[in-house]
Amino acid sequence: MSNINSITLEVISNGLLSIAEQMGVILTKTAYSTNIKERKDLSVAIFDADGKVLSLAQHIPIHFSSLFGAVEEALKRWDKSEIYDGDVFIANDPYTGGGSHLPDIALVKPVFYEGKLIAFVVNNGHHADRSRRGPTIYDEGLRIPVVKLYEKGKLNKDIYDLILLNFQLKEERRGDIQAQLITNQFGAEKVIELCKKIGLETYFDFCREWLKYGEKKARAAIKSLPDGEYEFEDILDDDGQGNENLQIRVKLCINDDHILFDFSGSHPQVTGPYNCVRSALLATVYYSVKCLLDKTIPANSGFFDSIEVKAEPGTIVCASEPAPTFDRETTTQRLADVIFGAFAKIDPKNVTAAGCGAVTFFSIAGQDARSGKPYVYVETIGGGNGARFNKDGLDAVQVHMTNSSNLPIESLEMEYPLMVEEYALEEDSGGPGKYRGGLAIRRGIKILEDSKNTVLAAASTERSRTKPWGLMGGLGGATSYLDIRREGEKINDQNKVRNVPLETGDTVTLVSAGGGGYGAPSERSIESVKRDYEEGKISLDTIKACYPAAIKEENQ
Amino acid sequence: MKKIRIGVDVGGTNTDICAIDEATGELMVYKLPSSLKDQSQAVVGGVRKIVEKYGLSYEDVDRFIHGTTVATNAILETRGARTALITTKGFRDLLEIGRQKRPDLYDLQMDKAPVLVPRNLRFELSERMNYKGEILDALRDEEILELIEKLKESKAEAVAVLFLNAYLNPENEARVRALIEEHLPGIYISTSSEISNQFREFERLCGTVLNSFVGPEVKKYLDNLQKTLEQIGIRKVYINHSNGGLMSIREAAAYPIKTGLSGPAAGVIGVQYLMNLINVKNVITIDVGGTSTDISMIVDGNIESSKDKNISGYPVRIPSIDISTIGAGGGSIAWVDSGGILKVGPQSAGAEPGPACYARGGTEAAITDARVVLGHLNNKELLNGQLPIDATLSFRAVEKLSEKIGMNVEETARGIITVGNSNIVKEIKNVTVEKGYNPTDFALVAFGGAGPLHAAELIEELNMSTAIIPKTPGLLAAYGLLTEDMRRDFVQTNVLDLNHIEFSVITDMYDRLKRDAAVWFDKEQILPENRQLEYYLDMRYKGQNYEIAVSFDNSIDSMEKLTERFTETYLRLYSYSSSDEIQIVNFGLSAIGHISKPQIEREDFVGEDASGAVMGSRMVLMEDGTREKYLLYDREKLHCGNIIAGPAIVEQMDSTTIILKNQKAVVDEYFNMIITRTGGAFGE
Repeated sequence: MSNINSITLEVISNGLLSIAEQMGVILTKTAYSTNIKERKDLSVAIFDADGKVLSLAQHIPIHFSSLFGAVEEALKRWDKSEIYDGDVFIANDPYTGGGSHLPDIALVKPVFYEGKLIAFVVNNGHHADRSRRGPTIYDEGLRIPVVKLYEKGKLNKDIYDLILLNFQLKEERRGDIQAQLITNQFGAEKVIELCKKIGLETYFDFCREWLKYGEKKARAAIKSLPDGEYEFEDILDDDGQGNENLQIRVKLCINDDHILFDFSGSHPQVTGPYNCVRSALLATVYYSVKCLLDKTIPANSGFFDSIEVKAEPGTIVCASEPAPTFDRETTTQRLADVIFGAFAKIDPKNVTAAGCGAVTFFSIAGQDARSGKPYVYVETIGGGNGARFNKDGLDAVQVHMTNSSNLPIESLEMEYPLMVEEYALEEDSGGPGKYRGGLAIRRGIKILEDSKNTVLAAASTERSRTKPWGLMGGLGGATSYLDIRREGEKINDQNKVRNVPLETGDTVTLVSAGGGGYGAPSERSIESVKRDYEEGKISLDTIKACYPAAIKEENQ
Repeated sequence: MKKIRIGVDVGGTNTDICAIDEATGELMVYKLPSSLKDQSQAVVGGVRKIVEKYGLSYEDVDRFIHGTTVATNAILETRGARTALITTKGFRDLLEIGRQKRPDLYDLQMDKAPVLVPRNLRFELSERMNYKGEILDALRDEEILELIEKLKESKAEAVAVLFLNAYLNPENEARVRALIEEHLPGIYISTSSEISNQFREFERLCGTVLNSFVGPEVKKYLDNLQKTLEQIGIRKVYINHSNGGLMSIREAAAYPIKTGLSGPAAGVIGVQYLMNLINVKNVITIDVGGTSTDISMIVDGNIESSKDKNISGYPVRIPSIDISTIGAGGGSIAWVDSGGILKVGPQSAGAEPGPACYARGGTEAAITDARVVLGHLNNKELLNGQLPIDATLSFRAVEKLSEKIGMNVEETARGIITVGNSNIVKEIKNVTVEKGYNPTDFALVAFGGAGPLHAAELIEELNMSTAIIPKTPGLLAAYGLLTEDMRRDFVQTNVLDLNHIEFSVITDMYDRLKRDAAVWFDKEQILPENRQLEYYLDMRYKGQNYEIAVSFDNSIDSMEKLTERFTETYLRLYSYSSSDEIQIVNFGLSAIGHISKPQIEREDFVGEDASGAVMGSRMVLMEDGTREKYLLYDREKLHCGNIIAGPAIVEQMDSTTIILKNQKAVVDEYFNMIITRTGGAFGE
């Protein structure tokens, strides 16, 4: 530890994190698309010269995956001697570009100082364009392996044009990619500034010690867990293509300071877009470890590498080419559920009951008659979170692998020929228990006359058949559903749909799932039952069925 | 008869009172403990004291200016009126859903900020406006009247009203207000279009609900204060708001949310005034107290403000001085984490028990303890002897920590300072990059009790050339109140594509806002010669969802010039621009009513020699473990032109300034200390 001690480690890591955070600020501010700017569907990281993650600005946990994959693939594809100052790599492919689904486009910039490769700065944004889904990855859009968008500072215009041609909202894509380039340029300058200040030797010593520190923190946390094997399994409803009850399993094997997450026995990959590639699986594991073991573990490769993950290629949790992956985030939500379920067997107080367990979303596309231009409106809807050992679950939030904002209604109605009809908590959706699961969200959208050639490009709910589970006697949360209506009549019979033509006046309503409860409902305080009833969060029927003691007391 | 202006700033620990003789610039100060249950006790008590102490009479008091935290504290403690909400049918849960984000990605125990209106007090009315503010579904009076009956039954003390898209058309909200006022007199009402005319419903809703939630308490407090002050003969009473300006006590009672972030605002205004006197235009301010550090920026003489700040987890879209706060102050505690690295804060020892050296039971090392160990701070007493210091307790606390990280006590103490500073440096960098600036182009002005201790180190870390320490760093907030103008900000969302409108649309829009401003000027009885208007536009490239503020003035008289101004501003913030279509999102107008500025005490050049202020010396521990002699100066005895060569320490009643080796400090005509780097080990 030549130049590195307890103090320099903190100061330099603070400096690097500051750079990552500033990059996040710049990307949010310069991006064009609503999805990146307003919903902050982006992530940023700094890697060392060997492709190890040093620092990561937290935005959305799932993005861990699309970030570390790209650098790894770049280093696989090019020898370090073929990576030059001024290069910028671009990638999105889950199988050859380190991505986790095609809309996430990562830009990677190698950083040089004194002629030496010292780091990579990377950022990733979700480019919400026309979404495409089909039975293979080839049907989901343009695949970009790791390619050089810039070489030695010179734009490869052919590649850029080729990429842009494949998108419907070209200007938006160009603006977002431009923002991503600026973000990396800024990050690279700041990393160089840091190295100038502390010297290269100290910087390299730091990288080594910092990764060791991550590992040390992770191992200390693992060591505090009781040795043993803990299993849990759960299912995804279906893949929208007729494959139902898709099993997801995990076995935790803990031995001293070693932990193995074994996902063997999970369902084979499917033709619906719900397959996770390995990087998305890893992202879920790392997220869960941070939540459940120690949230102060820095998100660096020292931490990541101290965890062993086993999964069979060709399964829904570790897909092989050409499985489609567009909606993989929904599957990662179930993965987080099973990991939490397994940890509940160690100590239920340390986890929450299951949350809404989905990325509930819809995407409406059409022509806006006001501007004559095409539009794509994408929204994800939060739901109930699972109850905790000491309090109710959070109502109406994004859970686990995502934490994106909604689009403000007043902003949405200005931008799209749509109107929001309601946005509300769903009564009775929280799983009953000593502590109640969080309530789900209901969001209804009406198609206005100014929307032409309108199509519900895709909509998806999960947990529409199996309830998010409760813990320690708590009951499950309510299931989710999709409701499309024309002149008041429901016109859909599925909860996952694609390419449904819509007409003026049609409404699309999504209701997410509620969170599971914790502890037996009979132990819920009468006061809490009464408050929920007064607030219209639970109905009289639920009280009769689950909390009869409250009625008895009221009668007296 | 004298003309005295009094500023009273209420802080968590102390109520500070500054009075100034408007003619001579004589400054009078008094500090007393805050009366937390009823702030007005210390406020009025302090005024009595200062009048007695300096032999003034109440008739001498010309203006009374008050920085109050009644609204802020009520929000922080979630203690307010029983509040109801009325909103568009289908949307009563907006308040609870918010932006549907959970408050922390990884902390499963973290809760959202409490919902201030329970669901059974959230009412809906059938009504709807579209994105242009056109009424699609009209309100019906009978439905409103039915609702008012429910309001009566609910025993609500306050009500907030928000309809979707009302930022474009206040008609429906105004109708509801009128009927409630008629049928339910006495209930406190806020409507969203009065609080903010900006789009994005959740943020506007939060501001409206908060306003009603704290309204009754703030109104009661201000009414009482006004009455008491009137009884002793003080009539001109003004309240400091979050955007660093004054409003009448009547306006403060109607819009208390506008004072929600006013606490640290006055200090920044004070800095702006002082820097303007010495012609320093670009400044980063740091206000370091016991538990936190507030950071803000002055660019080209103007304080940077923001429209999307948070109070205690609630977003408020009220123009406010853009202050970022981090948990780093003199009382921030150092600790070693499970991986063995040294962390500082955000936990703080606060004032009770305080750092270990206060000998009030604190045993953990705070930044202040590290400074005592290193010799930066007096190791016997602080605050002119009012606060005794036990240096052995500091040493013991740091020693305990040093054993955990395997370093010696001195290295550990130095490490605590370095890590503490790195937290502040990180925040300063984030704040500046967010606005597209580089810290090296700014001077650092440090105030608050602990700011002057950090200033010299921070300019080295940030590669800044200058730090400035005002004369009264511990009293700057109360002082700043004395220099404020009346101010009201008008903002109206109206999204327009530059390509599709004539330039006259912009001037028409401003004419409308100017009429609003004129009404306000008249209401506040501001004389025409004291009126000033400042304009800005929030603009963006079409398709973006984030606006930048672009200043607007008479020199912009065509679309070409406006486009040029936007492009310049965009380029500075993001280092690129585009040929895409440009949109205006908000029209902003600030109405300023100038108030005469008091004289500030100054002196002509006395001489460079500062030896008359030397009190002795202190041995300070250095990076390499050696000890170095720092000359010790008495701030009270420094005069204009005095030069202090570092290393040195300057002590004054409520603050200590460090000047490092390779730095020097010059005292200017207003008694500011200007610290500059002279190169050497840390230099360029």
